[in-house]
Amino acid sequence: MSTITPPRPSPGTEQPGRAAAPDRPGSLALRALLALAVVAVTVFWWTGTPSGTGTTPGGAVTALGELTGLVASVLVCAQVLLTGRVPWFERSVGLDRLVSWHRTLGTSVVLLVLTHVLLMVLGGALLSRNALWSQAVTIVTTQPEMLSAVAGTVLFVLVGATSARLLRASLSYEAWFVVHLSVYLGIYLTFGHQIAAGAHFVGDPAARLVWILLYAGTAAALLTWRVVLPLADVARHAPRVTAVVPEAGGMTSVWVSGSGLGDLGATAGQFFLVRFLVRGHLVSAHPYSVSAARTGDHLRFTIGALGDHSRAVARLRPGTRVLLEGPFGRFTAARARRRGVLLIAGGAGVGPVRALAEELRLRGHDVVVVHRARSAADLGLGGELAAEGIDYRPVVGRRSELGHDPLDAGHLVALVPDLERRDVFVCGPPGMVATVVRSARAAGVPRSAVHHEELSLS
Amino acid sequence: MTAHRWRGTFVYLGALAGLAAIAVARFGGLPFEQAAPTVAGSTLPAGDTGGSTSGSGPATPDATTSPSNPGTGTTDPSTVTVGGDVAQTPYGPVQVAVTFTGTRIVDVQTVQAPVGPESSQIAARSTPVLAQEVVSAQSAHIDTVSGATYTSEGYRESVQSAIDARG
Repeated sequence: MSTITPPRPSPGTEQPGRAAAPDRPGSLALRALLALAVVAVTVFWWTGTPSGTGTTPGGAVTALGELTGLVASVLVCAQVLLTGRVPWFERSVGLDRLVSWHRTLGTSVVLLVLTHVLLMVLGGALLSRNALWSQAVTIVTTQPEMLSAVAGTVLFVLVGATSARLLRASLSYEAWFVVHLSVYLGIYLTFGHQIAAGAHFVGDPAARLVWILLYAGTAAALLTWRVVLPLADVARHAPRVTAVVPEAGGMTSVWVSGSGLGDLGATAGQFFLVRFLVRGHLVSAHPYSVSAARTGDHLRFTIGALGDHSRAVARLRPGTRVLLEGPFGRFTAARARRRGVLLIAGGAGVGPVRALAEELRLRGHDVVVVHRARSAADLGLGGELAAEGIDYRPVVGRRSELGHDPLDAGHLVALVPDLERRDVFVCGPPGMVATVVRSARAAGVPRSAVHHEELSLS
Repeated sequence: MTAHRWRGTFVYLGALAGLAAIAVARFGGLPFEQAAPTVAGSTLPAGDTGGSTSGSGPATPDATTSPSNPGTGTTDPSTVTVGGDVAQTPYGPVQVAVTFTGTRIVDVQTVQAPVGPESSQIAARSTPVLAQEVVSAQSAHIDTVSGATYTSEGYRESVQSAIDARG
């Protein structure tokens, strides 16, 4: 880009005495832990597999099928723990990245489970010289817990298929979520055959105990962090909707209040999984960012009119009970390392940006907010931002009307000439976030100073 | 995010290649044997549910059903074949004969194994593996063959009784 200026050392732009929160300190550790688990189960398989097994093709294929099954089983536990709201994972990795890993690993696990099934049938058929289909029938009818394993596998495949891009796009969040929940039943159904029919567990009580503890531990973690603690929080704080305020651009602000809600320690830029306890909202929790900073026992969520659910939010009544999980997220003011900060908001992303702008200003940062919208009427919360003593720069107009993308590198630098010396926070639709990240990087903003977080959980 | 499209599929393919490599590392040095010669007689589930053990096979004439009565030696004076106890399983009886050269286990033959439409197949594929395991382990401490849980357990029991009888 012609607008790139050579980096200049600018004394005074670093915040002295305040170290920025490191970016995802546990990211590497968690991946190492995952790799270690896979290595451990491979060693377990290696030592438990007699060399004699490999002297026939059928034996070798069966053994490979067992290894595939063992690895898939460990990864299933990892899968549910990744999105199990484990506090250490949340703090050190961030829910957005955990969800992204969960999505990647999910594809792999479902395919590994199918591979395991295929290899076990093929290996058995080679050993018994049966036809494949009759071998499959033999396995199901003669081996213990195999019928429920088949049912569980069907659920795995269903969950995998509904999460695949093609099908996911045609499903509502609620429908997808209900199917996704059935994976717990699938895991329960497939556990039995591992212990009862798995060659590595049948004759080895110690291995069986370790395996049962692995699954029991996973279940305990899920129960603690996904059920018991959120419910305990609800009982303690009894959060309710206290006000519903329509905003520009079809957005709605919902105030939720409860005694001691401030103790949850939510900071600007973080989000909660919010479930309004009223018909039409019960099925699934949605991730909403707080859109106002330092509001004590009150939380404000500003929700864009994106889906059926978000639109229905406008019809909520004060007094409605709310189930809150959180706060989550690492898109916070603590990440800003420089005095100068540029915040870029698009669509419903203005909620967290509004809260962050306020928080950063109170912390003594020099804050510029770029608010991207299709038209001036869509600048929800714009009035608040402009009134805060913040350098507020709305950028309106469709790209097709403007003939360019106002957030591409050239235009962004023209809009914010000292961009290079600022931390950049961006929140909005994925396409916009990608554009801004590219522009900021091209303008010389280091990777560690560009902050964004994906909110989608599906 | 679009950047991660197909990442899961790639991770899967990588994992599959890795697992296959591990399996090759585990078994790679071993040539496939079509019918392991040392256990040639082991695929003969000659018994039936009625318990008549008119087992036929290369070694069965030497096998006895009593562990307290060591079997007669074969051609080599230092080689003895000892019959193990009959182990009952839910699918039928399992019995083996263990051949020792000195104190070494050199062969295990199946005298009887569960019979039935599926049981025979299970026995057919599991007993060679089990025999191989006993010969490598030189003991009855062997792994269960996948899908042949009861046969494996009975097999272990019978082998152990033969080893005990040999003393």
